[in-house]
Amino acid sequence: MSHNQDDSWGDPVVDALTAAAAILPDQGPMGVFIHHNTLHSFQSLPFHQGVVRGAQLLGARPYPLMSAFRLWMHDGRIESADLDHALERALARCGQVNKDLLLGMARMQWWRLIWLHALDTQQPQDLARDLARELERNPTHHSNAKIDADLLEAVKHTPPSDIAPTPWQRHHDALLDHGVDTDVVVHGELIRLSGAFLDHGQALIDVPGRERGFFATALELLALGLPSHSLAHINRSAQRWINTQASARQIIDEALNGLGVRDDQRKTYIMATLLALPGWAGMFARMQRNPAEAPVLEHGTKVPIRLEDFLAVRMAIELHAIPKAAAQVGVSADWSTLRLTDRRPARSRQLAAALLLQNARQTGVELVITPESLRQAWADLDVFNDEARRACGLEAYEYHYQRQILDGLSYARTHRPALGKGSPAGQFIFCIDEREESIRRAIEEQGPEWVTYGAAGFFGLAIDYRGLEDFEAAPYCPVVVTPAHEVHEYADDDAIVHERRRSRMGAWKHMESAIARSSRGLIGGTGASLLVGPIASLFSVARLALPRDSAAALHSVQEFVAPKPDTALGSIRSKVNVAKSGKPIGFTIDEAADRLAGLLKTIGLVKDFAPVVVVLGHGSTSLNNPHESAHDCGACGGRRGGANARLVADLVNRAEVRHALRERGIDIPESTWFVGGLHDTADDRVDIADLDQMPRSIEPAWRQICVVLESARRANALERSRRFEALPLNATPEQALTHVQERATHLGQPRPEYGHCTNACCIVGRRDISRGLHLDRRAFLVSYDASIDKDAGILERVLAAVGPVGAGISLEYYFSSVDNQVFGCGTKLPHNVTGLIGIMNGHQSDLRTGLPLQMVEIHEPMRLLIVVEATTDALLQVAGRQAEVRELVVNEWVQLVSVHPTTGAMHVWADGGFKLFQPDAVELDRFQYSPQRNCQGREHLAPAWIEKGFA
Amino acid sequence: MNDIPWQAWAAWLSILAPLAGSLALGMVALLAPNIPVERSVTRCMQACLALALASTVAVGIGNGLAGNTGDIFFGDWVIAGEYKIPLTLRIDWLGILFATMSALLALLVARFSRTYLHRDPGFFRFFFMMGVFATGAQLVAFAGALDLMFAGWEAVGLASTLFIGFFHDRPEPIRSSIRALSTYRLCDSGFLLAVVAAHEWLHSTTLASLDGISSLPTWQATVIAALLMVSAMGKSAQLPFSGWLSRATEGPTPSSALFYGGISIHLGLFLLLRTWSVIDHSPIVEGVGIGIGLLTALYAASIARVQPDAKGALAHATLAQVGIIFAEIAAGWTTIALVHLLCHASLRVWQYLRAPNILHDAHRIGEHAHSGGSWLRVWVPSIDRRLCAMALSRWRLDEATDALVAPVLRLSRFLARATRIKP
Amino acid sequence: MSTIDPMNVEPFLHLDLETASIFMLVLCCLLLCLAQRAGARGGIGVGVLFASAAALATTSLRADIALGTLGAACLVQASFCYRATHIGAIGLAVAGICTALAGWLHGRGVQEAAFILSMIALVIRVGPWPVQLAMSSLTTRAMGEHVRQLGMLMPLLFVHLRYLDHLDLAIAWSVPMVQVGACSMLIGGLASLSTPTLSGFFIITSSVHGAIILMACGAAGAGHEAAALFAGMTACVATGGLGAIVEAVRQRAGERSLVVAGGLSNSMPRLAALFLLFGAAGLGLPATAGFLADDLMLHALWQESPVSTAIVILSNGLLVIATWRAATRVFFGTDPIRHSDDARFADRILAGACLIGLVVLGFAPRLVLDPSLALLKANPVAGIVETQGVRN
Repeated sequence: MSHNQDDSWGDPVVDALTAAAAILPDQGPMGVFIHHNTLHSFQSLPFHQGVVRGAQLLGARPYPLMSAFRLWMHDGRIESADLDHALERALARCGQVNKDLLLGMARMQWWRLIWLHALDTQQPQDLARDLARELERNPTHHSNAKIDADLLEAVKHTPPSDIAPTPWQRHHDALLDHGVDTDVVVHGELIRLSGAFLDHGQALIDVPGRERGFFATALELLALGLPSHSLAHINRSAQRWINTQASARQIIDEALNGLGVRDDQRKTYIMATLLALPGWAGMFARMQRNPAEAPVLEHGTKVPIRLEDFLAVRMAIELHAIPKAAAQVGVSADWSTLRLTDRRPARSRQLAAALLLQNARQTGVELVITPESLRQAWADLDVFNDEARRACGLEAYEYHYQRQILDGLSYARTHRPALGKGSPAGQFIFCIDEREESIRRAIEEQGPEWVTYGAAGFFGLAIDYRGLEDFEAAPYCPVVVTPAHEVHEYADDDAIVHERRRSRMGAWKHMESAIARSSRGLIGGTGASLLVGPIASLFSVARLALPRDSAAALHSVQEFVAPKPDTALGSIRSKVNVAKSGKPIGFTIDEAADRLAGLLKTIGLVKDFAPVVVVLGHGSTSLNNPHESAHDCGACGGRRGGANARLVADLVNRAEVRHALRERGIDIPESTWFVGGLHDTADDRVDIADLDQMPRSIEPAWRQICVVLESARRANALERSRRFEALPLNATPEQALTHVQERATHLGQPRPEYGHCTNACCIVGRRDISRGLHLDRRAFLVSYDASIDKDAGILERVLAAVGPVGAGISLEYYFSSVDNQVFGCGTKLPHNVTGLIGIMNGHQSDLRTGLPLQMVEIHEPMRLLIVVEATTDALLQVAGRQAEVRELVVNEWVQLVSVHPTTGAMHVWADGGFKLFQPDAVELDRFQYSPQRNCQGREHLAPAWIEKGFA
Repeated sequence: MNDIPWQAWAAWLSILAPLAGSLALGMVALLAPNIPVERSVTRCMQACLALALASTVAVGIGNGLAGNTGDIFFGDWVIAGEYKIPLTLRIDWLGILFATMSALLALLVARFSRTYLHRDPGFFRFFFMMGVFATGAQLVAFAGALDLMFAGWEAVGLASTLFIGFFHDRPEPIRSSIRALSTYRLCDSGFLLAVVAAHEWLHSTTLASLDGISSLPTWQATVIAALLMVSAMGKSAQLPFSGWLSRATEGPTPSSALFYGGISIHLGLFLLLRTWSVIDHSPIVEGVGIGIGLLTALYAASIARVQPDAKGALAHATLAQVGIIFAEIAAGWTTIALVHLLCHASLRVWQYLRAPNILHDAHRIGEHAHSGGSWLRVWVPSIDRRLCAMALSRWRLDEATDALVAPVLRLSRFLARATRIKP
Repeated sequence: MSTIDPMNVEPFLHLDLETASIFMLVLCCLLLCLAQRAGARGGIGVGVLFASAAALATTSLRADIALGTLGAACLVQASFCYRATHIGAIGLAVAGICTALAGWLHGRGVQEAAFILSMIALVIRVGPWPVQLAMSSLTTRAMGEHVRQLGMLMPLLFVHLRYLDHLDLAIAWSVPMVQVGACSMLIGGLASLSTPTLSGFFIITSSVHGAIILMACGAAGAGHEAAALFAGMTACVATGGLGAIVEAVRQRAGERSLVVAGGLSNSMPRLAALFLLFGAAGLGLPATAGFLADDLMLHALWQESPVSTAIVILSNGLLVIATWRAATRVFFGTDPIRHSDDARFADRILAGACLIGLVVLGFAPRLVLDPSLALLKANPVAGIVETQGVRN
């Protein structure tokens, strides 16, 4: 897809709608949060071009600010060598030669000076002017007066290469410069209308007539409403349009004509108009693409949603707001006339240059100033401009981490003691999630007989799952996969008990919802106040004073009223059993065996089975957190995993399935038992399902596993608490566990956990290559054994799933932390859930997409570093077959490193090819246990070596 | 001064403890090189608020043991000729209940915010303003003279404005805070005038002397009552001063809970209860009050039905009840109103604090399907449609206000241009 | 009911005239120091000189000496700011000459003329709308001098109230002065809502406070000296403090527009807080002297003209809104650059001291008010105040 603006051969309105739909934020309703690349539609461009282009269109920052980079340089997070590496790449990218001398120094040195000292273009003019004036006023402030004089002279004669401001895109920009903000009125109106229209059931009553679409509904609401002061007579116009049965497209055209937007200006004008309120417009575009996410009408049909309707309503409102505002400040409302009045001054480069030279001189470099080299130096300021400098900064920043990880891996390779030959006592299959890195390490540290694996959290079983309490089945698999099967959870107890329980539960829930809803009415509100008010104050006190205990007490009350029954999964389909959706319920033996064999082969667990294999999905429970689902398992479609893990265990433990697996070359002995469960990443709880099915013979082994898990989850809680300032670094594991439990149940806790905040790299390969390394919860760990993968087929499957998912998470965090206001959704504190689909800031604002500040505040914005234990040939093979992986790698939206499975040679993908990486022979810090490493501070930690896992 | 009962001193303690906390923090922040760290800020403020709560409870116990304490006079704050501002506290159950409520909620919200605002750049500001607010609320509750009450009243208004504009890097909170402050100040002019008028006509501003308002000519009593009601209408967002309330949720969730679910929004009602003897004396004001309260309730309830966002719906639902309580007070059902007020504040604070949880609840309860329309939609769909449209546009109240203010602003621009001096 | 009889309660403090003037002198000196920080010309010596002049004026028992000293000080100040602003300097010079002349005339026994001249000096120096020309050029060009003249205004007001404001003429003028002042305040309040720059806002604020002082003088004529002195002191200190803060902002970040958000609070949070505090203190922030000053003034005004009282309340409200608007526009919003620095330590100490002065006055107003009442009872016309009678 091309993003060239000149390709407007078609109808400008249609073109603009298509182009805008691609750029607008693609985030669905909040209930299920899927991490994705915020600038997904620019993925076809090389990373640097894509982010600059996308950020420019959305009015955002593509990279961190230069001030941030300089701070990192100061803190040692970027070292001099990293900067040199990045500068070399930058020079190469710009097609410049290093050798050229400028002002008496090599070009790279000059660029280094620019990087270190030049002003940001984002810094406003008055600062630059003040500093230049300062320079002028105190010319002999520094040692060499002659040089100062020369400099001033040189600066004065610098040809001004002016930076023109972005031209006005639409009326709003022009009127804003005249002191009136039309968007206040337009957005107020539009947000109220869109919010009510897209509501998924939060308001007490629907807006009438939603089945006719947004355009018709909004027109009717406007026509019936009172006349507004700032939208002169819009109710009359709306009535007229209803009477003439005008279509959305007609209104758009009428508005464009009425506002004087000529044909050739229309595409940019409409794009800018749609991007002015990206959240809401994006939600319309998203629901148009995925009608399943649209709100449901009374009869079960979905509300029809079109972006064009949104644009039409917006233009109709603008048509009334703009002339009024223009008249108020006494300018023309005709766009063709208005845009010609754009006389904003261009910003002079001279000032920036003056400051730069002043700084350069302070560093003590002897400059050779000739007119020719000065001209070239100025020209370089344009080539190595602000964006190039920041891109260079990002690469230096990433390179530093890349060096640390690769050096660490090479250290591990050379220093790893051989593991004992004894068979494993327990095997644990976790999700690849980087948050599980610490708990896996904690398990492994309890002895070499404990082995862990990492597989995408749906464990190869793509299903639509319906839990006991759910109303409908939902997909538990990565979003790119469409499940072919449904699996339901059934209660185990007899029908009468079950029915009684159900009705009790229903009554409880009905009461809750009735109170919540009726408290909004007149009479209901009075009743709720008088009846519930006193209890509410008790609740407030209890829930805030004792969050953990009161949550436990509430839970036990609920258990008493409506106890949770034992359940079972309908995993195997005995006869033809079809769900409402038309999908079969449960797997056949062969289907199950195929998928399970795939899973086990992928992670390389095909022999040497331990007595107990634990499969753990993960999810996160927290209160008062609209972004709760963003902490859940991405591989389970943004839901709490666990069901898939339970299903794996349920299937594998069946004799028929094992028999079928044996036919596929995987011999699981009778003495091996699988258990499935869920690891809650917020409160570090581990729930194991179907324990009653476990045979007696397994129990001794299981008791050992329990001990290991108990101590591992405490260690995990302790390691996580390192990041929370509320707990001292020397806390005990018990305190840490209590602390994280409290966090998960606390109403006033916007950070129940830090989520993927620390993600930075992804290691695909045998656990052996990374076992023993303390990776600080920063690495996705994907188990993959190249030795049993002959034709890179398994690698292809692995990378096809891990690449896009990992890149999606990493890039969403990248963008949300680089510009939290535009790409992210700002601080959580004033968030206001609207329509059950998203959040606004305060009483009304754009629908905020992306991640909140509290989720990204400690994130290091980097592209994901994927290290694969496979040959470059295998990787090239996979890239040839998987278009999406190829796009990510070739366009450098991720960094790819190949580690040779046998020789350990490392190759980094850069500038269109694999380049050999020579790791430094560094000595890693060695520690006995992880906690010794953890208590060394709250910031990110470099890889270290933990000895205990091998002893 | 030996015969001043101890609970009167306890009341002073509950008023001054939060203020002392704020002043101490403020001086440290002004003079120390760095703004105090979170831990010391929360410790200081929570201790002060806990002290305020404890002493309020002590006042209650004292009042219960020793019978109604009544008005306690501590001397004159200001004496200028015959003009005196008396330092009088009124310690009765109305004040004690309200003060206990506000101290408790302030402490709870401080506890909530300790973790909620962790790492926020405005952390210090938040707790500083909490102290100012608590002082204001306690002072309003215990004040025995209108002057003192006005001091507390202003402190609450100021804190409210600053909390609305808390996230000052975006323009919307600032716009909303200016709107709220303008409404407050306009209506508070009524309070101030009432204070001065009471002083001139009654020669005292103590609540005790207000009780003797029957000695005044009817028109004077009516004027004072009307002025007091105007200021109550501003604080409690009654029509036509309702526009600011829904915009006030721009602040952090806990401050919205404390102010617009809990104390500040009910402060106007408290003022009416406090000066009930004055209101009671002028039937016109009472009648208008009932009308305003009921109209506000209908207005707010109509909006609360269609509001799809959590805080907007809560704000309007709160306003509907406040309107009803307003009417209850104006109708003379003061006891019912007080119970209603206290229960309502408890409920709304809880709901506000839990407002971000609505997605979680929706998943748990599984309420995705709409309840459809309402009885109105079934019976008279045309009226229902119109009502929806009106409610969604918030009855164009803000626009109407803006239209009224526009000429003033034009005049102001003209004057600013006319007075501008070439520098 | 255990109400205490107000008649039996002892007043908080027994203070005499000297104590009042000492307290006022303290505030005056604070403002003079603050003026120095805000860029007033001359070193510590000049500050000491001005402080001594103020001390002499307040303690002198002869009106001609007091007024003469203040006039001379004003002339000295005019010479200081002549380089920065001619108009401001001329205004100050005229005020100084008027003051000195008033002293001379008072000594000659021509009290009415002395009163009129002294009023002219006061009006020039407080600058209510529409005569704010001199003061506005002073505030834009030489803020330090403006703060300093506000400091010296307090003794002038004191002396004026002490010796001149008891005349029949003053009593006759009091109602018109209150009415004119109220109108001026209303216009200022309205204009303040849409001033385009920070300096413009300060000019208007300053002139509104000027109008308050003018009204205070009017009310003082009718026997409200205490209120007048209290309100005048509050207005001077609050405006002076605000001026110093405005100047600090302008020094660090240049002139600020009030049309768009400036976002300075990220780099200068303390200045932002001080700006709000001084602004609010002048407008009746509870717990500061402003609250009581408002109360006292309103009471005094009501007796002259109830309609004016309502107007004053309204204009005060307008200025509150304008102050918040100015604070939001200057300090709030985003600003990617970090300006040089926040208030310096010495600034903070001084501004904090001024605030403490305002808070002390707010909590214990009788420090000033009680002795001012003594002032009322004294016999001013004789030129020698018999404070013995009230001292007991």
